[in-house]
Amino acid sequence: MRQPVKTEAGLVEGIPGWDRSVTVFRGIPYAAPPVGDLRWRPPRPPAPWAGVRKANAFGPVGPQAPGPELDGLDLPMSEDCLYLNVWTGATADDRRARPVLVWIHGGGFRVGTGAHPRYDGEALARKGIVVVTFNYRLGSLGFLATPELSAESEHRASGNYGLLDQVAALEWVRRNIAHFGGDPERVTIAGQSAGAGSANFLAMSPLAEGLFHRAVAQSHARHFRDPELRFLASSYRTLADAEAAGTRYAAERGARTLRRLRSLPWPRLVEGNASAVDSAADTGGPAKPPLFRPVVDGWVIPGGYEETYSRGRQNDVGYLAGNNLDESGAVPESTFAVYRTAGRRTWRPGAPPVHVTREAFVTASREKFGAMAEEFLRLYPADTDDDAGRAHCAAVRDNARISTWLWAKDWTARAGRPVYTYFWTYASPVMGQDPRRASHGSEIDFVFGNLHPDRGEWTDHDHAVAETMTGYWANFVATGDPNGPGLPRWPAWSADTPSVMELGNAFAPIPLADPPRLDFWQRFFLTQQAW
Amino acid sequence: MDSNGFDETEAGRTSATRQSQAYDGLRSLLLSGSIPPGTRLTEADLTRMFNVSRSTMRAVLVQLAQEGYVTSEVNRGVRTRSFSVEEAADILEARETLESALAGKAAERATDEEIAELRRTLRTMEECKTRGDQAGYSQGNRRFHQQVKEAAHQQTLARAYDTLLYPLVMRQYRNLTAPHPRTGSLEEHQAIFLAIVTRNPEAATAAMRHHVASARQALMLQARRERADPPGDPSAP
Repeated sequence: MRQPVKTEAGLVEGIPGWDRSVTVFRGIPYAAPPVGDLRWRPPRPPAPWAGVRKANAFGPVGPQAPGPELDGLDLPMSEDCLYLNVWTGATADDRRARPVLVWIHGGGFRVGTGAHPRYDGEALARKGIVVVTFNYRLGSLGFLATPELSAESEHRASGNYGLLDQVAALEWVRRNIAHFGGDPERVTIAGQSAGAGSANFLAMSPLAEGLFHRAVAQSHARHFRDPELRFLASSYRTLADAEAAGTRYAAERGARTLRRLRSLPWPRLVEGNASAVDSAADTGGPAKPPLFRPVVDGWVIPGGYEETYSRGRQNDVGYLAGNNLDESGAVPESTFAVYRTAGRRTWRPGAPPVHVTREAFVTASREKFGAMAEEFLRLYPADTDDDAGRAHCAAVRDNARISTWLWAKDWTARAGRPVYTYFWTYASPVMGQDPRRASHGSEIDFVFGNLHPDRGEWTDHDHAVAETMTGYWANFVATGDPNGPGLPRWPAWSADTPSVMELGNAFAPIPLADPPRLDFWQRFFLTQQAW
Repeated sequence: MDSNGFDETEAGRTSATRQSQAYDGLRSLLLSGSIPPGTRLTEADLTRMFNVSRSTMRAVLVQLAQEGYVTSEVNRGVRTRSFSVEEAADILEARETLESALAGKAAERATDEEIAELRRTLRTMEECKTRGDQAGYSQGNRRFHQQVKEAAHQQTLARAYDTLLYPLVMRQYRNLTAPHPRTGSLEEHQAIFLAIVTRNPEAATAAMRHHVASARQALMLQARRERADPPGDPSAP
């Protein structure tokens, strides 16, 4: 990579990766620091700089409650956090610009950073992809809405500053990535959990039209009539609800005016995971989404999923989406006893329930399914506590696979591009969980190929799984099709075939669910409100 | 993974662990230098941030005040610690004594495994310096010092060293514009390692003292310079 590299705002110089064929640029500002009067405003372009900026250190992380997402990172925390990172293996000999992957980190819209080592883009860069990771505003700094903020906006909208940051990062990519050997016409956005939710929102946002060509949602691409969507990362708020919550939030801090709110130092504005739960959200159960999350504001997000998909208003992009074996309340059988003893006392508030007793399972089923509860309990019988645990997990997994399959059906009804769905089942012992499980986020290390020795004693089998996963993802980013030489065939989603591609323990299509169960869930969703 | 996300279902966290989590979290926030010295911290904000009761957060703040991470005064409330130049010099001088003693013990007591780990860390630091990976070098630097401390197998010295708060001092007074790593830094670490590998306690003590003293002197020079001539507003034209 010839250095320094030109960007709109100035010259940058990166450093070699651990593999000298890759150059990494850390901490390039993609927007002006959203501080002072710019707090709770759409991001502005960064100030240009003279000379060469050394892009060898990650930018600060956005203000957030310290926790596992930042462990071992030793990065400062600051409102001045809108920085991105680029990994590229491009050389002067390239005959063609390289496809680009823009990664949106997860963390419940409340924590996280693009600088986390598990999102290191070097392995994918060695496979010919230009990788971009970045920070966006989180928590109340990213998603606060108030009537005063909406009034200040020419669009009469507030609450989506974090999403606007994501759009700004994509705009930076469009204008600058060619200088890094990337092709602005072949951009894929990808994210996990809240990052996947973000990808789903960007896929509905007119502001992001043309800025990307395909999307990857790792967990949480759900059908709009699946009630679980309401508490998962694809959940949204209405502007009215968000403004009301924002007014309460400001009052709790003794800030009656926007000026006063803007004057508070950021440690006064960080919400931990208990206080930031949206308990008022109607999710049909105990699971609740975080309070500060995207808003259907009529501008960044013009409408809900049903409204958008039924009119074909979504961005015309291909998709790759899936779920994991042990997430959304499904857990390995050997943990049933632990959950029985722990009860609900120690969980994250609003977490998806794990029903491991007959009584809890049956009670919850009656609440959720109403008139259809008897049919549900026949399909997922539970005579003992252990039966109940197994039935609960089977139901969660069937729900997820079927919901994503139906989502894909709606998505492709108006968008002409193929969709690929998956079900991740691999539980590596190295992840450090006891017992090991294919938990939420466990696929990330394998997708990025980040099996570094200092992160665990990975086995040959782990490396083989990573080779396959990075192969699929790199192919999808390059062509919109994960298939390629040497990889087990992954059929595209098809209305004719109720199946999903298993990834991990095996690499082959598996049936979505037993036919009577599939039929049940389809009918159940029809009884639910569309979001 | 994603424990603040939408999908966390790990059970088993008790309230005793919650207090230590809040302590660890607030302490790491303070050590990162993300909150300017002298900033007021209110109980209400911290309980919201860390998901604990007020009484738990009060206990955490008392512990952090006792350890010197925060100050607690009647009319000023709880504030992040701010060190005067004299306090900073005093702490760094104490660090010199303790850390050079630890290096001497490491030369006596480091196991072969610990020496292999130190060698790996040093190699990483060399690699980072060649690549220009400042952050990687700093991380390796921290790990090196941590490994020397542990290789000393001297609990009392190590505990005393940990109470020093010198990372807070470094954060407050670090010179962001100086070349990093400081010239000679890598060679000083190599000298310390060599003394440990050759099982020479006197040499290890001397090499560590020289290394930490150089860092202290560079820092103090900068601190005194800034006190005499405070840096201007970096955002001014």
